[in-house]
Amino acid sequence: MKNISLTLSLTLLLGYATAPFAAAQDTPSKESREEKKKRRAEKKTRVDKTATPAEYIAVHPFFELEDIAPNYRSPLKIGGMCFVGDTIYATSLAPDRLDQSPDHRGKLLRIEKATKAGAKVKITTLCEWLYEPCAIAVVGDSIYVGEKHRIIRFDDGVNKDTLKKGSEVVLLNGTSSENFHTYTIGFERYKKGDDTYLCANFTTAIVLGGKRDVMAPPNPKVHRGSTFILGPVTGKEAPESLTLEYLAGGYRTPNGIEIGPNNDVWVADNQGIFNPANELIRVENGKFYGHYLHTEKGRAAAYQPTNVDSKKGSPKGQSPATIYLPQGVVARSPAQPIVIRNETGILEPYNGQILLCEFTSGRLLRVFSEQVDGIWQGVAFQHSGGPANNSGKGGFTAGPNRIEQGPDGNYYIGQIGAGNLWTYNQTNYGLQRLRVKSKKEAPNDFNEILAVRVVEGGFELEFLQPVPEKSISPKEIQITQWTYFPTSNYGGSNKGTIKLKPQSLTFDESRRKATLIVNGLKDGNPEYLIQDKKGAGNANTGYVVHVKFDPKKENKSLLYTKEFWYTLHRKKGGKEAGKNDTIQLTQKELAHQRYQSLCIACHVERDGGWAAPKLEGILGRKQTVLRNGKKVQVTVNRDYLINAILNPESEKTLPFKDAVMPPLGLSPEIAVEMADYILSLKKQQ
Amino acid sequence: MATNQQSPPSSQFTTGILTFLKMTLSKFVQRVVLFSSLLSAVSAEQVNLPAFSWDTVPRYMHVRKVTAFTPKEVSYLASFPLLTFEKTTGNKEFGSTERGTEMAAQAVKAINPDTKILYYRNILVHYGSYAANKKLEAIENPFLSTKSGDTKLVRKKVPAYDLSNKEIEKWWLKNAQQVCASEHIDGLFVDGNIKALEPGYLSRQVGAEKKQAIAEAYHSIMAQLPKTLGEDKLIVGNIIRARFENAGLEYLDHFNGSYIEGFEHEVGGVSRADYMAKGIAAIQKAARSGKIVAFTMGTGNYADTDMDAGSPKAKSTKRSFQDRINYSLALFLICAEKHSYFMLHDGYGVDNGQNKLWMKHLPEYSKPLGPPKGPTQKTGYIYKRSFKHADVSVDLSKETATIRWSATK
Repeated sequence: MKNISLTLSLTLLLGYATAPFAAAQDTPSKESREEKKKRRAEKKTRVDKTATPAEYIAVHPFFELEDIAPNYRSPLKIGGMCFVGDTIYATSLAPDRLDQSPDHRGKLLRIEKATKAGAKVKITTLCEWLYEPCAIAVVGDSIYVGEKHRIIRFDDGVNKDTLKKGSEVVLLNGTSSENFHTYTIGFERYKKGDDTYLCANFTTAIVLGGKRDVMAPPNPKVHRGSTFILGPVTGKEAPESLTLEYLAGGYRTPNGIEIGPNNDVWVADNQGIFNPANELIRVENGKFYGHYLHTEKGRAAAYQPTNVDSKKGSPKGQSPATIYLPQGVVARSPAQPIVIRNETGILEPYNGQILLCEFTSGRLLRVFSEQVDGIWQGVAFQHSGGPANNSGKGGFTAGPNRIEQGPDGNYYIGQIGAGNLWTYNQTNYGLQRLRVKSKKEAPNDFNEILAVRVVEGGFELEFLQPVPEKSISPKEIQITQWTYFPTSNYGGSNKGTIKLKPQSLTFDESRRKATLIVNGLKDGNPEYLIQDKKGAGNANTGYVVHVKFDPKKENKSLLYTKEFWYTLHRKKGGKEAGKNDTIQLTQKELAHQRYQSLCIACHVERDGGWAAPKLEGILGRKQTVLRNGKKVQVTVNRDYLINAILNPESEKTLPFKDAVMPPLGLSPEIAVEMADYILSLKKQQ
Repeated sequence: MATNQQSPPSSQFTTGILTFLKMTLSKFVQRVVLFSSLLSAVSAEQVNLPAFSWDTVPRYMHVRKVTAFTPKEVSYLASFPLLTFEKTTGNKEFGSTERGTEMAAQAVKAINPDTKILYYRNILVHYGSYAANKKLEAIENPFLSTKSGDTKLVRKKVPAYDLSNKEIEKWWLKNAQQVCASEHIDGLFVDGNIKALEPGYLSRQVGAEKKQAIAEAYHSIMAQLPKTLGEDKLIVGNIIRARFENAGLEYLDHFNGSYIEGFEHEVGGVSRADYMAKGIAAIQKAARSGKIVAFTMGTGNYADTDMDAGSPKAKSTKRSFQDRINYSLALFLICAEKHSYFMLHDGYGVDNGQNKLWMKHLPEYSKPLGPPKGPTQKTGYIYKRSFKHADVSVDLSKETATIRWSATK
């Protein structure tokens, strides 16, 4: 088989490509040795600006991050992990992000003394012949692993130090054909009566650049882009007696799965084709979440509507994502979520909320969810971010991919990476303890928005501690609202964006809760459905409401989280916006939004080396492109850029010859605006 | 089982369920303790299980005939690994069901000693034709009765045993023991379990308290059964039914396996597809645990159980007989594990010659099947499973199925 690669995250897309066309001057060319040297030197020294996506986000003050295996970093490219007592069982792999070198040497690791602070962990490599394993569980004494192409079991595996090839029991074969983007993500334990099932996701096949892989050989045995349970498992069940049951389908890169205390299943999916933003979904059985798979040559996702053209798709056939995580702003590659539960210390107020790994942005998000009129929706906050120092503290070593709570109550974060697009902090491995501080250690004056709930006419904000009087007025609150049009084009910029003026802000007596009334809020009800000339629309997407809320005292911010993104599928009452209730966005603001949601996932701000050419300072740059099979050097100008945006597949920018930038579906007018915005971006210093 | 008669109105069940819910905690705990004590009461390892092979569709036979079976019929019966002789079997020819069953079993065993043969007894419903019935005359108040003394409570025609009467308990066990002591009888088929256990059934007539006492007595009898019969004897019950909270699995420890009937229903406000899905999950679980599954489905208008006949049994879909064969067999194949056996029938009584499927060997029964190749896949109401020589698909919502048999040399 060929390869696959990370699952993850990545969203990817846009990828590589970029560059097409028509440049002002076309001359055959080759990068000189000096240029190459210079480029490499720049790459090494460049500051990773995306490392700190929000200036104020560091490690959350209730936590401390520490590297638990500094001497063993290189094998810790964590694809899946689980605890057995204080021992971690983990899979490790090198994602094949460029679809060139599939990793058939994936490892199964036993990490002992993982939760003993200060103790030297012991890592045993039980085997290193697995094919890109991203799922693991231990049931009884048996170890279950999800490889790219199959699900296997090692009988009595926890009692062995070596797992030889051929000793595995194959439970399910043929889960994927060759593609760098197909993984099995899990496992979580799903309960059905007194039976235990393994719960996981199958990611989808794509081509470099992010388009659906229509040419991928069919996977007749499973529905990819779906959540499934496999079981019941006992540690010694007969493979032919198992049931593979699909809970839901319609994901693209569902690189995260979690089962909450009520057997509620949560899936994190990445932005891309049909996914206008990253998503966190509280899975409802039998639902389809919008990412259509081509049925021409392959198998549809589970529950994919049969009355919708799978090439074009339609949001009318999808169930709403619970919470959108806007691309490039909140997230780029959401990975595993974990539900905070049974906390009794400083985290007790957060019980029921979710911590969500965000892989390529190197952070954790926090999510609060609620049910309104029977529909789950909720709000996302920034939680922790930033790169680790040389001691493995103060931030993330690499991209947070997996998170599990240890028996000591702390959270353990497995990290991974590949290339510069699927990576964070230019590091591809890491295993850190997110230690929960004691009450004594935690800052007494720490405050943040704990939760946001929909109330009549707006939102109720709940704070961890009282907010002082006169620290914020309604005028200081910034509110922006938009929706999305899921289409077969890559991603999707914000649609119907508008700024709203708050009508009032009222605190209760405790000043731990405030009611924010906003006219003009929109939700997923039919009266707020909009569509463009091509018929694309926002059915079943609802609206995202972004609120910046920054109370200050003596010019100092009082809250750790100063903004939130609420996905509004159902509001309660409220008035329509009056003339003075809204502020239109400037053209530049709109262009910036599009740039964030469509471009920066691949045209990485920090470096153009791997994903796609950087866009800052692109005017006048000389690029080598592949045109009709020939290398041609072009100089980027406005026309070239417009053409590249409108016809991304007409040329390939070297060295990304295998990457394909997916179509963005922008009109010529919007393409011009985008080009002008990009040209206005100054070269990163 | 196996009757076309009317069931009690569902309101009776509702009343009974409410009464049941009011059961005191102490009684509930008492029952839990009782159930716990029954765990592993019956072990599959202790008995000689029927022969099993995936070569072709493994089959079960369930039949009754008041006269003696013909030699040709006996040969036919001897081709099954597992069969049950129903009430009335041989009654006319040999004077009683007990004797008729013994004689039929002897004839079958003479041809195929490996066929496992079960003697039919209903744990609650009193049927004639049993020699043992004469001894009932010596037992005071053997039947349940209404306040007015009416004892014809089952379908308003047939009495039901008062299992809480210790004399009845002894009498019932004795009869089972005596018949199963035969070298030709491999075990007991226990019917009427659901009627005995369902809190609502007959509770209006006899009172909830009495019905609860019946359920408790039922467990007492079943707990004694393995030892009474001898631990080498099979005990198969008509017990898996989605109407129970755990679809009958909570009672499966009494048995080596379950006979399956009547899961195409809508009970308790559950949709037909959901009710069937629950039943399938229960059958799969029982089969996976090594229990025998004697899976039966009726064709067309045959009502296979009176308990659930108050609700629509089958949609009035215009399906062909072949469609029904495919659907029934596909459902079985989705559930089947080692020691699962299939029977499609149009009634168990074969006296009148009206049964189209009696002595009929469908082409599907000769086709190579082979063992299952991997996990069953379930997407909503759609189930798919592959065998070495067949790919099976069932859609519960549409009540359709396909079996794609692979070409074999």
